Amino acid sequence: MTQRTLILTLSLVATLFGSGCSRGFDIKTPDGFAELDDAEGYRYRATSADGVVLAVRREKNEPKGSLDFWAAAVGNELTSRGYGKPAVESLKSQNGTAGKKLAFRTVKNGRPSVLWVAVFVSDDRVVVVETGGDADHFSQVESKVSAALSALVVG
Amino acid sequence: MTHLLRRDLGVALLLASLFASGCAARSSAGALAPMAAPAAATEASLDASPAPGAIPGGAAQAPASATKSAPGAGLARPAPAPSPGPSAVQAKEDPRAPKLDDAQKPLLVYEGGLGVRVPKAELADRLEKAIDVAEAHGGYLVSRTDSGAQLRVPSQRFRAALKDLGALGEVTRRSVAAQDVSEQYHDLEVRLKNLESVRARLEQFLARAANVDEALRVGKELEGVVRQIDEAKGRMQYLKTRAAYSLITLTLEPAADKAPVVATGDKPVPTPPARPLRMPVKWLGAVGLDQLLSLE
Repeated sequence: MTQRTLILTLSLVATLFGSGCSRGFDIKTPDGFAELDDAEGYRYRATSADGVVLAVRREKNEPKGSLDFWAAAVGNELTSRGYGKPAVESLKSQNGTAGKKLAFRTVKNGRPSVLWVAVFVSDDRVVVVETGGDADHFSQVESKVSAALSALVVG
Repeated sequence: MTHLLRRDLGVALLLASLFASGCAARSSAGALAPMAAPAAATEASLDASPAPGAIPGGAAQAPASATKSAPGAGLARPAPAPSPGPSAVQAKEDPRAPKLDDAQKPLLVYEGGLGVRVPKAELADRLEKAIDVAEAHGGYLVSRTDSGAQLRVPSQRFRAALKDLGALGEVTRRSVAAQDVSEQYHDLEVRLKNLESVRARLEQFLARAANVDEALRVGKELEGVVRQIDEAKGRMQYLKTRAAYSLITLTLEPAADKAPVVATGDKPVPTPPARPLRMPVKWLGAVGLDQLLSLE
């Protein structure tokens, strides 16, 4: 390997990490949100000053399932835990990956709360975007969160 | 002159005696205006003359020729109404029955009520069949409503008709009542005889009237007697018809729809809760607001 080849390879790796594709997705932090570093279980997490949180998981597609399977699995899991039946909406990432948004309305600590879970499925990955918080606060940033979902790039 | 006075006095006395003694037949036929012949004459005519019209007997004189419009119109005297029963039986003489001549047999008016439960959807059809039953027994329809009818059937067929009508569904109510109108009819007969006797005498007086004034007075009396005769005959005809044809009031009751079959356990078995889903995917349990909003 020549020195030139080595430089090109390192540059490519640096570019990939820098663009976020190493996480398997790319998401823009909405205006008014701050990205958190210590996101246990999440590949990305950001919060607003009012406690509305936006977070992304990336999991292996195991057992291997379709978008419908994973959307239903997430929906059933949350419904069984008292979140009620979700309103389901189809959506697409910015780069064209099909996804489904499950919108729940629930009560958390006595306060009406909102939880959205968007599921995107690629051949070997499942990307799950979660966002939620106090219903009053969520409504104030709902459009920003929706814009972040639309701008999501699933790798 | 003396002759004329004596004649007027004779007519006056005769008329007075007719009015004064004519109460013999008035006791049970009070609806009719008082008019009678002298008691002696009445008794004489009763003994001497037979009852008007032959008394038909049993089923043989059933008004077979009677039409729906004029039931029993051809009866000279009502059949001694038999006890409600099949006509075949009634046509024969019951050897256990006391030997009575026709004049002594009771004149009975039968009325029956019948409640029959039928399927709701078939109510109109069963009502039509009920009318058919009455006509098959020689009867006729008197009136009808949406759920019932009044039917008249020959008294000889009364019991058989009741039985056939009961077969239209489930009998819920049955009633039979008999009214003995024999005495009422007999009183009318006596009264009629008296009136006819008076009429005959008045006709004789009218024929011998010496002047117009006398003829007018007798004629006026004669007119009243004839009217009373017609009334008595009409009343007798009415009784005969009622006795010859029994009235059945049929009421059809729609049966309630069958209730759905329901398990008779103490309580309905509740649907068990959904089987808890436990996907073998660890991260699914972490999805939700608990972890999402935990910023510490």
